[in-house]
Amino acid sequence: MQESGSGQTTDTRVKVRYFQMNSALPGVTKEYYVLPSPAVYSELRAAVIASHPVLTRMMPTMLVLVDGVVPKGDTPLQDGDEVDYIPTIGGG
Amino acid sequence: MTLDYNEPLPEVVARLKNEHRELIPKLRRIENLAESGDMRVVITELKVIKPLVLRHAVEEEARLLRPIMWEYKAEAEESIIVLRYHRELVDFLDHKLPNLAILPEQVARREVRIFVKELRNHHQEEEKTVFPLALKANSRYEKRSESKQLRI
Repeated sequence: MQESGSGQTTDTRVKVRYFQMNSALPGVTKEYYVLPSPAVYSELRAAVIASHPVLTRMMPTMLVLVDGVVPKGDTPLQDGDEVDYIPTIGGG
Repeated sequence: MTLDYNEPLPEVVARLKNEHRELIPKLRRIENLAESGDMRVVITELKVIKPLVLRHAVEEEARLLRPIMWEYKAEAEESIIVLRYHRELVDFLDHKLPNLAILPEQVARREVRIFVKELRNHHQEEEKTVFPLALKANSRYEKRSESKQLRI
């Protein structure tokens, strides 16, 4: 779920940054998502796609970094993590 | 396509630079042919360089962006903008190239000349912006790793 109010201590709040994606997401460069803890990357990915269906097609070729590291679906997310989405031609 | 993630970054950058150099005469030949030569030869030459150019682009993104994002995220935007050109590269090689033969000849010649010019400029931008930042990021990462080991 996308953040709508104050987070709870049992939630995982992550910052998502979109690099050079103005054509797909006009005006959106960063967002915060709040996921129930314990959260894993695949849950964030699903939440991002739910918020921005236009990214579904781009996702396979996007470089995704969770605090600088390429995540797997079951990579745990920590409160305060930064997740970067970077459009590429080859993906991560 | 398999990439060697164990190859040290300075060697990767040197190799990528060398691949730019190796492409220069090929691009010049394509550009000259696109002026007044046989367009069938131009298309064949472009098909020959296509897999090399695409592999090169994918490797740049895979090997250079991560250290940049890890160490210099605040300065990464310009490098990402430079690498965004790869989408246009794919667009030309995957979508325009197969149709060059059916385009009016002058249009096809112009498309090729533009492609060559932009690719050449792109390589220069990479060498000016992306490669140095990737090397700087790699160096900073290694220094930090060394000092961490010393503390242990």
